[in-house]
Amino acid sequence: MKIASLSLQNFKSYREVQKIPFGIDEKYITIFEGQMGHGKSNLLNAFYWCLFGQYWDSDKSILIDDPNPAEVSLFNKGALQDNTEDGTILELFVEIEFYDDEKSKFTLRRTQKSTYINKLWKFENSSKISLEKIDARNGEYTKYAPEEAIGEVQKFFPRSLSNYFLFRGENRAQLVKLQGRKEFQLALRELSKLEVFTRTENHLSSVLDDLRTELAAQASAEIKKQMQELLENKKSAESSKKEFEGEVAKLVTIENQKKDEYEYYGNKIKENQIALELKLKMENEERQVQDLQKQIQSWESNRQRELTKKWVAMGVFPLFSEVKVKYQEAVKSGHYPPDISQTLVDKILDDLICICGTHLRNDKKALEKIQKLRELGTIDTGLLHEVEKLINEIERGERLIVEFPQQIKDIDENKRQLLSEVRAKQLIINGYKSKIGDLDFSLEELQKKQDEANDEYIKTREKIKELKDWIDIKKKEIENFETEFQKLEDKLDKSNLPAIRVELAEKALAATRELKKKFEDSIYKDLEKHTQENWELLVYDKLYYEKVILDRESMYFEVLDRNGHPSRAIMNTGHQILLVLSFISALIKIAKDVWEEEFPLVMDAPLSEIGDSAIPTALLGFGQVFNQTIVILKDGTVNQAILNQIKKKVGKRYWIEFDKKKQHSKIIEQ
Amino acid sequence: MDKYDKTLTQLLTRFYTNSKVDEEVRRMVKDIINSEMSKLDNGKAWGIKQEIRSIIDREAQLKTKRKRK
Repeated sequence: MKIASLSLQNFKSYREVQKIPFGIDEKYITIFEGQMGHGKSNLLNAFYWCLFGQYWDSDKSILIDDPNPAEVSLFNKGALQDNTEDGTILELFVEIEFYDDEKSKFTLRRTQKSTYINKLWKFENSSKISLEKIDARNGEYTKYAPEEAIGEVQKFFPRSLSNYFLFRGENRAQLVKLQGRKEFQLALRELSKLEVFTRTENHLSSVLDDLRTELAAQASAEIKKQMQELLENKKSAESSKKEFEGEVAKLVTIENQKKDEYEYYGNKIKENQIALELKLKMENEERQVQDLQKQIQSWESNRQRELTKKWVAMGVFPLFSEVKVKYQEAVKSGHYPPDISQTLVDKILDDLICICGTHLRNDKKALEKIQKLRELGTIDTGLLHEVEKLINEIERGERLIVEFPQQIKDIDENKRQLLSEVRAKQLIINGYKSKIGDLDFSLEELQKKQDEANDEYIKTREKIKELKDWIDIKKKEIENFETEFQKLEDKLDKSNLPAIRVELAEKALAATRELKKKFEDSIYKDLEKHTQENWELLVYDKLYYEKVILDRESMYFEVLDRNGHPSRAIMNTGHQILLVLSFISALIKIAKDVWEEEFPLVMDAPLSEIGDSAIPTALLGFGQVFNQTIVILKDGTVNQAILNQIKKKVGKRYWIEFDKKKQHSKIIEQ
Repeated sequence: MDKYDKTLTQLLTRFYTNSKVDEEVRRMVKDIINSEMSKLDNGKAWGIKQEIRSIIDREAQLKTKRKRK
């Protein structure tokens, strides 16, 4: 089947009615982009809720059946807050339109209501579903009763597969669990008739025990005693084995929890380390800002100095000119230098000192000569040179005045550049602040918790190993029972009815076990084969991970390298995720064979740990297993280079933006 | 009939016609599996052990008769 669209209102962060059509057929990929916390993952929950009445709680990592809106916030918060008039009824809905492979159209709608009474929202206990069908062959319209609708939906979207085609890529532990024993067996059971053999084996085994007890009752006293002892021992071994297995199941849950915890704290430490790195970077940026601000201040005082200097120069410029004219006139008159009047010399010198006083006062030699000039009223060559130098100063003053606007402009430009650098750095600092805002820095504490989780994990694993050894011992005891009991049976008259019954039941049980093994093998072989095929399809670079095999004991997939050595444990995260996806795709292929119906794949943040170069291969590979792929990205937007490679297959691309004021996630087609 | 129904049918047919296995064992297994299937289809498991016991008993009686002859 293909999912044509999803519509929703008042569900989680989606307040207003929105309908989202998906890419189908040739353009089978739909991509959702948007920043973190803008409502992307709520879309995956819209699928869970509408199709199965389930809710994925990502904080607790659990799938909740029939979530209660009083405990799980299904309703849009904004809608609840803004509609507080007594008697107000608020309805949330999610609707999925899909087509089966014969192109008949189905509309599945799940709704739930809430009423505002006495300043409280009263939520309906359970959601309601409705299903409508328009037959592609004759256009016939069918509306299913709710109980029929559940069964009908189950035909298209089997609940045991919900974990698989609705794919949560939040963390590795969750992913690995997808091929874990319980979920895996449930899915397989639903996919095949394996259950028939399991039940037959159990029932036959129990009947055989009864028949053996009856046989023992009729035997001679000595054999009877031995048989009864053996039967008792077997019973006790079976009960211990069962007890140990139950214990192992509990411990496996703890082991997984501890593994999750270890991973969780590892991520937290990583996040904190990233935050610390960001903090250091931020401090560095802040230091740079301070340096820049100092530079700005220095440019500011330069500017001030330049301005003062220039304004002074401009102010005394007429005086410069006057001195120059007087000097030239004196030279022209022919009386100067010997006859030049003392008054004029004084005037010139005063003016010069006034204009370039600092310069002259700092030059003692020049000052002495000027003093001499003043005393003698005469002039020598050296003095003339000094006067010429002063004249040059005057010219420099003129030049400064001409250049003044450009210099000030340059200073202003520099200051502007520094200010914009400061602003850019402030933005970076604010970004860092927002990223590290929610994190604590108790790295030691986190490290301690991670170590504790690891210790618990190792201890649990050891306990499991110990118990498994005990289970093996009990299994051997049960096996030995068979041999021992056979020996006693051989001592009896085999022609009597109870002995014949036991013999026949034994043969029937052995044959059933053989058949079960063969049937399981055919399914596991298919799983292995499909997983290997998908591994080749989805993985961009297999590196040395060559052959995928299913470990029948643990029900986990192992990957062998070129030399046939197990190498799953050393695989990087990206490859591990692709291995799980290959396995999921294999399961879906089997489902396709059983249901004779094609399946879409909806994935939330599946590719976050996969390298950019590997993503196009994976996305295009899904097209060969699933008839439709809906991808919700983890954060931000898809890389343009990736988009270029897959764009021929991308039917729809959406951006999700959360409006805080309205409390609404808006889906915008790009 | 889906792929694994077919696989199951083929597997059982091969077994039911396998002359290397005693006829009475094939008959018993066939009847027991059919009973289990019918219980599964009806969603009920009640009485299955009784049915299995009757099937075994039936074959045991036949075998005893054969031996007597």
